[in-house]
Amino acid sequence: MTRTLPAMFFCAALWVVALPARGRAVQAQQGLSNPEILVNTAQARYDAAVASHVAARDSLDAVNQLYTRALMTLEGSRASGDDGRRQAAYIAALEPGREMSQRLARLAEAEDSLVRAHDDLVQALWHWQGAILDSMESVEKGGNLESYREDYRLIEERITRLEAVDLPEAGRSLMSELEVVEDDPRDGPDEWRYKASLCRRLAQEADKLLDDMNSDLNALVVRQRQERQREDFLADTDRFGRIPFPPGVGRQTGEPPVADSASVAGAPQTIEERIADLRDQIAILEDFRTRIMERAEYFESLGGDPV
Amino acid sequence: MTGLARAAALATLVVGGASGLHAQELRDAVLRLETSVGVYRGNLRAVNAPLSDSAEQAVAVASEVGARWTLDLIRSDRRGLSLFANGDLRQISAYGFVTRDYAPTEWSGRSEASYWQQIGRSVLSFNLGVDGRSIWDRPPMPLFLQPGYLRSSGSTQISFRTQRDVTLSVRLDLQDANYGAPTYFSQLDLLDRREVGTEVSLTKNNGTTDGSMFRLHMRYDHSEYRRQESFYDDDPFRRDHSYRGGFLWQGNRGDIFLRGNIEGIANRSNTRRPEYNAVLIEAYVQLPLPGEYSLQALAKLADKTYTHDTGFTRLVPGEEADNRSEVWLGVSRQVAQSLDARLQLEWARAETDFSGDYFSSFGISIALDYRPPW
Repeated sequence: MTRTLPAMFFCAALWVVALPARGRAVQAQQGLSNPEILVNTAQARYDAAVASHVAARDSLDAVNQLYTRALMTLEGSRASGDDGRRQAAYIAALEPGREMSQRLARLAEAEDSLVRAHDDLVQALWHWQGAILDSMESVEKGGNLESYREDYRLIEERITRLEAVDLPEAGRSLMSELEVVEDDPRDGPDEWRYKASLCRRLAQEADKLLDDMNSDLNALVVRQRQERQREDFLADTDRFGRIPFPPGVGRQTGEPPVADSASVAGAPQTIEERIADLRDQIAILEDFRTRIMERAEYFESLGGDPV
Repeated sequence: MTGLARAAALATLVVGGASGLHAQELRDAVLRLETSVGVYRGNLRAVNAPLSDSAEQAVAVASEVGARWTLDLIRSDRRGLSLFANGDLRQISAYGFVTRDYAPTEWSGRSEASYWQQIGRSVLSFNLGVDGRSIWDRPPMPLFLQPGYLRSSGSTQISFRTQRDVTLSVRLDLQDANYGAPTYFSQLDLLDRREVGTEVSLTKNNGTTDGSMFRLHMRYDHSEYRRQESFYDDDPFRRDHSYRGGFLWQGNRGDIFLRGNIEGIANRSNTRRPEYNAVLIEAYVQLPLPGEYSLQALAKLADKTYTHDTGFTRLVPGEEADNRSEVWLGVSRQVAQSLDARLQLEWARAETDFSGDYFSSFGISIALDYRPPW
């Protein structure tokens, strides 16, 4: 008896707790089994995903203009031969570059959401069509099927329209945003030749930028080595708790970052971070150059001989 | 051309990477191994050591190991929290004394927490730190090794960016130093002190590309030595007021990095003995040599003039740095990935406790600095 009573209490408690949950599960199942509700829900999600995608693309376009201006400034400064001006333009161009990177990432997320919402909506519409067919089978002979046929046709039109939507490719590389030279079935030899030439000029531009970036990278690596050797040497002159020179209470602690940096933000980018950033950018640009050369060779293979 | 430019810009700039928040990042971690030989000359009167020896010259052979690192707990464009720590251990074999040879062991350590927050165009920062050193088998002169102590410090600073690349900073510092004197050498307690200081500085940076900087500062420090008597009944303990002013410049001239620092000090006290005026000059140069070698030289020169004649011991026992000149010369080279080697020479001349008496040292050392690729 001492074991039975607790077991009864436990079962009773489980029943009390589980009953409302079971009720909610049944309600949810009934809701999901209604194909029209399922479609309406999927349609709402799809509409929201479309809106998010449009907003992400608009946002990308906005910063794109900043990019263009930044690179034009960079090109102008390089043409001027003023190294200081070029360096300033280069640094100024990095910030919109990072913003672009973030917005591209957001766009990629929005694209993934859009593809998923699109697939869910198509599935829901197919499910609704299946439900209509089931209903038509249950109608007795001689019954009016016209309204079912009309619903089925309208759903078919919605599916057709959805399947015609030009969705972004799921999981594509961010570099695909840079594929400025696309295939066009109306192209002929003149267009292929022009596109091949465009790709090769683009690759040449990438080569120039790669030269600049590699030069900057080498300079940064040398500077990093010098800074480290300087830190080590100076640290060696002030160790074992020697009272610093000149002595004074204020000499014991470091300066905050703002005092030692020209960075507009409070935290200056360390030389290690700058090197890592630059290496990433070089890798991306080399990838871009490879792809654009492949496009040039592709158009040349179609008949667009090198100009 | 605009289309080409746009595409190339996208390719160039599309990867931003680390511009936002960085968290829990270990950086500037360095392990150091060093071995050295030093010669110390000048058997002068000193009350800073518990022992005395009649030797005129001593030789010290030392091996040491050290490490330092910084851990960024928060690092973003608007705020940062970092921890810094270092530690050094040195074992010395000292020869040339008349009574016996010595084998002092030194260790020292420092840890510091720094937080800063950007507020509009200003940066507010806080620092808390503790550092200390300890020594066993401390030898007599002429081999001077500082006594052990424990210091705690704190500071806060507000920096305003007034115009392009110019920053105005106001800083407040607090410090407490405790020398924990052993019973057989109680005079070390005379060094126990509390200090409060404030500094106003103007810094002009010329950009991150060449790293050049000009800094002008003015500073006031108030120090209380609660164990030193002033011999005035109404003001029984030593209190110093130190006024400083100076400027620093650093920058690159081609591949050569230069730094110069000059500072004037007027130290005034409620007791006449430690009142002095001093000029401190520091010069540093780093220049590349063929074969990826790098030459570095550092000179720190001090000239101090006391304002009153006195028959008392001038310096506070145990301190020599406030009238010490030294020159360092080093040649560095990267010998492997993440490993730098350095050969360096050091010369120093410092005043003992008694004004006008100096001793000197000369040393040569080889150091290896390793940065783990974390």
